[in-house]
Amino acid sequence: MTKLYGVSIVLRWVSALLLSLITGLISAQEKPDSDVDFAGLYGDEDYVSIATGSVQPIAKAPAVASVITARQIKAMGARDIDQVLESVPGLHIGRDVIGHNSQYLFRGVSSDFNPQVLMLINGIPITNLFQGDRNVVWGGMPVEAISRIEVIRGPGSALYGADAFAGVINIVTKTPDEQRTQSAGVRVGNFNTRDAWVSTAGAHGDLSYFAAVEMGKTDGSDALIDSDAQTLLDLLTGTNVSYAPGPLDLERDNVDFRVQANYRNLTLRAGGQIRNNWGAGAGAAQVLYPQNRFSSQRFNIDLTYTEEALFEKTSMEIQASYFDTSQEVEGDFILYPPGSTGPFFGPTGAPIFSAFPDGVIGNPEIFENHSRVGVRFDHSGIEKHLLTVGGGYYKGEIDKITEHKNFGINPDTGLPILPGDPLVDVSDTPFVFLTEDSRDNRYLFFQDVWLFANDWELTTGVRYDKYSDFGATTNPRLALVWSTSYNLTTKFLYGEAFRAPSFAQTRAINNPLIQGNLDLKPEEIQSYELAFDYRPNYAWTLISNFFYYDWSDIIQFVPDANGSTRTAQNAGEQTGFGAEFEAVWQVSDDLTVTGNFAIQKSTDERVDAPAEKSPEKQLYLSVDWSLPRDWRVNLRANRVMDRNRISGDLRAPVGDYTLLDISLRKVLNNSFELALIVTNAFDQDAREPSPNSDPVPFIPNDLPLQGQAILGEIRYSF
Amino acid sequence: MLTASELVVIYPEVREPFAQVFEDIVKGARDGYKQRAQLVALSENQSPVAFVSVLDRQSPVLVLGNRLAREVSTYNPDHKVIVGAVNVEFDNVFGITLSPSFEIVSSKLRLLVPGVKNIHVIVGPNEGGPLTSAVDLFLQQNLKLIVHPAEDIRAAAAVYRALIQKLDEKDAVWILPSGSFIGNAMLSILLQASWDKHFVVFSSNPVHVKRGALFSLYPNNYKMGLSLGRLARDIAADKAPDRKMQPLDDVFVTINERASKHLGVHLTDDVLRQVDLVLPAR
Repeated sequence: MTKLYGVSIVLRWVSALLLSLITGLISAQEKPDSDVDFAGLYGDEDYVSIATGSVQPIAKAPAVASVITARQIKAMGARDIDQVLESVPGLHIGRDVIGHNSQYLFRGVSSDFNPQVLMLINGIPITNLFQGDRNVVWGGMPVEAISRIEVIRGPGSALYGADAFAGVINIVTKTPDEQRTQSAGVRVGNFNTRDAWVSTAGAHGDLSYFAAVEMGKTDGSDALIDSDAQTLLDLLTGTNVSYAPGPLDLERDNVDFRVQANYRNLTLRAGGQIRNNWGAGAGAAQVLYPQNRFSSQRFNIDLTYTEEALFEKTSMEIQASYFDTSQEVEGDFILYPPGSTGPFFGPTGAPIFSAFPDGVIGNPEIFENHSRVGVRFDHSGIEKHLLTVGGGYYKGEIDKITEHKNFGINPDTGLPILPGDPLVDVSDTPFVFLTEDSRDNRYLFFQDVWLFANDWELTTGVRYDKYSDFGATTNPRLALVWSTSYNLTTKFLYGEAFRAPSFAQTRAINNPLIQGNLDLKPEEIQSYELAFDYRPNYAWTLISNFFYYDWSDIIQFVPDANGSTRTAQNAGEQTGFGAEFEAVWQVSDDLTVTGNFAIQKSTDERVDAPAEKSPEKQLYLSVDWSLPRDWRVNLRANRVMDRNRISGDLRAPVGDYTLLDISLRKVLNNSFELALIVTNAFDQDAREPSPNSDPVPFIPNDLPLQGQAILGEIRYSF
Repeated sequence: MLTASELVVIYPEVREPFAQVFEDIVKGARDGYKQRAQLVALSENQSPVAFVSVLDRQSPVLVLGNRLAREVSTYNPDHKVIVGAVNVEFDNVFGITLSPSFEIVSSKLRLLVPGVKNIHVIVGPNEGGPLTSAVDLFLQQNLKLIVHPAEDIRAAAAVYRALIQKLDEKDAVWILPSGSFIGNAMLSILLQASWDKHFVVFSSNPVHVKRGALFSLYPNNYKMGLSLGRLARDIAADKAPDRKMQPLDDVFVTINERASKHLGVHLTDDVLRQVDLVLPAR
């Protein structure tokens, strides 16, 4: 019923749009001379903002890079960065079981927690030490305070250090110059989605500021998980307590804020991502329990001092930053529901314990802080060279770990905690799941951009990192950019990168199944790329690239000799090759058609089998059409194809899917703007692969994505 | 009741991000005029004529944009009208057009590409006059201005094709603000030839730089507003300049990094100080 109603709204909007289009065309013909020929003078709207100085032009790194601007993000009607990032060729957003957490899958590189991708906010990492990801209680990231998202495919450790491995996602927030009025907006839609935001900017003398607060609440999805790990336990133990079939629990209650203040040579930025009432998706143990709730508080602050002319032809930038994160449990985290025996089996295959009346409970909480200070100098004094040198210091610490649980060993008695016993606090005892610890990192980097002939530019970079826990690593890169002809630019790229082992991989203890290993080395990758940027005329931009990578020392949990546990080892190797093709067709000043196709073949060298999870093929098409009378329509179709199961997983292949998103926008005047957004317009049953498990996958029917959602949006500038 | 010294600024109401252009001009005008100013934004279907006709004739009226300027200059001849942000010159009014002055064009060209000796420009039937008079001015900068007249776009295409054959690194082609009969197809041919034969293409349209022209001069809207405000102040004080419509001196310079590297135009710090916007290489 809801869906029929939704379709009728869409039809009404479409007829209004067509009517408006027709009357708009008529009035356009009657229009006398225009006020100023802006299109003739500046071309597209992005360029007006650049030419009028409110936005800086973006110099892309000599790499395979994509930039998505605030204007494009708004046209898409995106409410989260993941919707934006899906448009990047060769990048697919997979899903983790816990929390449906985003897995940014570049070019076939996948793993359990996706630490092989570096996400930066204004150039500063938001990587967590625990799992090397963006936080277990991630909860997404809204887009209203974002100026642009820069994505580099391939390794970037020579500039960014650790974890710039399969790709780098840099989220650049808005500056005081970019917004000239106050603005606010609300968005409501299916799944009880309610977003509201307000932003302001201004200047007083030398001081200018930007601030934005965004609040987002949603139930997330009503997609069903048919069967979970407890379903299997029910089958094995004779209980009947699973909540499956039941909906994925993706309730979110988010508050994000971003602040920037500029004063002369100083820039101060601060931000927060507060996550409350966070539903755990399909659970940490692949078990549904609808009352489980988490929270996370993440705050960052950074201060940057720039001196354009420190010496002649030398500029300097000094930056200090601090980032604080937490993973917290609201109430109790029920790993297995009340009445379950838990996953504890004796050698005969019989459950060790009777049913846990309150369920199997584990409340792990982690608090981290990250401090950084760095300096860089750019020197242009040597003719045809631009030299950059820099260095810095990083210290990251898991400063507090707490754990309350009703299973395992009671540290006070040394005896097993039994079903029905109260929760035991194992914090600060040898029986906690992870040890509190810290790591520091000192680094130096050097880069030279050398214009050695008129059309040839060679970028050479190298970075040396020394870590307190796993030692030193040196990562070079080379980029040769050749302006081959008026229409064509060719790039040859080579890069190496490393991925720091996470604390879960080095310091996990007391887990009945897995053990950390302090002797781990970083994972390494080497990558070769050849890229072409061809612009045969003003209407077309054609970009293609071809890559090969070798990913080694992959950290995997390898079965131990005792037969019951697995320990983290640098055991895996994966190679891959592929290509990405992008086309932008500027049909007219008002109509842009964009498409990309990505293909990759990656091989798990240990078993000589296709790598799991990442799509081998992806096709993305988008149409953005500015219509008369300030209407704008944006259509996006994303087809995800050929995802392999891990070797040994006997399920049928994951089904391909195509999702269509539509955004319809109408600028009423310089104060009001309306939008209607439909995601997954055809309500496709799209799924991301769930992990394989022993003896069978716990969630056999994969992880369903959100069905059709219709959202309405109002923006107000004042 | 308006006082005699109040400046009335009439400008079109356009949507973002284009509104920024007029806001910058208006801000400059207020700062340049230094007295009270009243701002009137008119929507697409509103005429300024009736509004202006009831104003005190001693109050200067600054009108921005082609449409409003045309209407006021035609129907309010008795007011002290100053026009700005216009592509063409109007009779009976004072003002500043969007066309960069010859002085500024020649000085920026000399600075960026000192090796250029000849400037070729293709003009329409009624455009040759002012350019012919500018030949001496360019000569003072050691630049030979060569004007190629063309009757229409077809004739211009033939002139361009013939011209392209003869040019080398000592030559520059100047695309006038009026367009010099250059459509997308001819621009593409011209820029391809400029790449192959190392001659310079420049214009006063930043879009051409995006497409591969070496540089472009385009309005610095705030400073242009400042000049308009000062002009209004002079006119209010009955100190009108000799020349009614003036070309633009307040410009930004944008340069294409890829073309500059190809042509060997080294973007030293001294050069970059004169450049407002570098369009990065791809």
